Amino acid sequence: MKKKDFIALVIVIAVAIILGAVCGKLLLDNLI
Amino acid sequence: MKKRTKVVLHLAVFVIVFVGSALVRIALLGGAPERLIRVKWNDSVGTVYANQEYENTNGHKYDLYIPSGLDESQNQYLILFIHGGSFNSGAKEDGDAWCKYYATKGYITATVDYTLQAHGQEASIYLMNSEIESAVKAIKEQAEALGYRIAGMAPCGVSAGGTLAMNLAYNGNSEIPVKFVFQLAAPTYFAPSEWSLLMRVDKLKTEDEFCAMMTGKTMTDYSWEIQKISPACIVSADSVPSLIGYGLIDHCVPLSQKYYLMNAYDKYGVPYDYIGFPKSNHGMYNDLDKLQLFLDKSLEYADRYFKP
Repeated sequence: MKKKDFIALVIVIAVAIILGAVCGKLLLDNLI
Repeated sequence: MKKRTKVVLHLAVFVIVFVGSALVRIALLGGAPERLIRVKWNDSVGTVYANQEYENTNGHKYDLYIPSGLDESQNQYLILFIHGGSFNSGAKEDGDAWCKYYATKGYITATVDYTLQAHGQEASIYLMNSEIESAVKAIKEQAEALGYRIAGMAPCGVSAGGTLAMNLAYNGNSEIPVKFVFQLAAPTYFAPSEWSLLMRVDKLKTEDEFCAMMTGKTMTDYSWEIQKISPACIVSADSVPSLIGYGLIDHCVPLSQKYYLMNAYDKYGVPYDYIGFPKSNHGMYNDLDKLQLFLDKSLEYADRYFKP
């Protein structure tokens, strides 16, 4: 894997973790 | 690797990590209240008598927790946990952590199953009330058989369980004298206009269907029957002290519900404490400091009202 691809993957994972955590809290705040 | 394959791969990774992250956050946040009350439990702390039978037609059972070292020559006190779940879900096991928590404070505790709505059986609030009353009778008898005399009790519950705890506390039908009651996020008044969300969950089309399900009766005017199953309407001058907590962004139980109750307490001079959870929805997971305050207050109540 090229260095550029690796960095892109890390960014994708980091953004997914942050957005997932935010959405998880939003879901909890609005559902139960 | 082709550009298109890369995009698909990144998208797949994003979706998997996103969902995983959301689930972990929900589990961590949602489980926070239970982590707060979790205690170490082994045979030296107490004994659990699981799946004990009580008189009911649907085979429901209760779990009894006896702390170690109780003095058989002294009066003992019971804290009964009644699980929530919109009257259509939940199980006695939901109260395991609560029972162990209060058992480590020296109280006999129990958690009980009752008939749930939307499961193909008639499940009115009246039926649930009578099942809880039967369970209390059985708990008293079993405790006596084990050598313990229960002189008083405090029912407690979360959400729907809080409603049933208050009904037991206020309707005067408990075999064990109720000394106080404490609850979180409980419905207090079943005027159907307040419960459109519950009606949607239970797939009920009309307010009459809702009233029929809650009361187990078919009639043209439900107003009196609704009052008889609503804790806020059965509060009287004789009602026991009450500790209540409500989330201030609760999306399940209308915010007005707590005011019906507190207005009734004020009207009849019932001693009570209200703890607001400013950042919490129905699950009370966002104000752990307030939950700790609620737990401490419940123990203060036990100290104050369980003593003769």
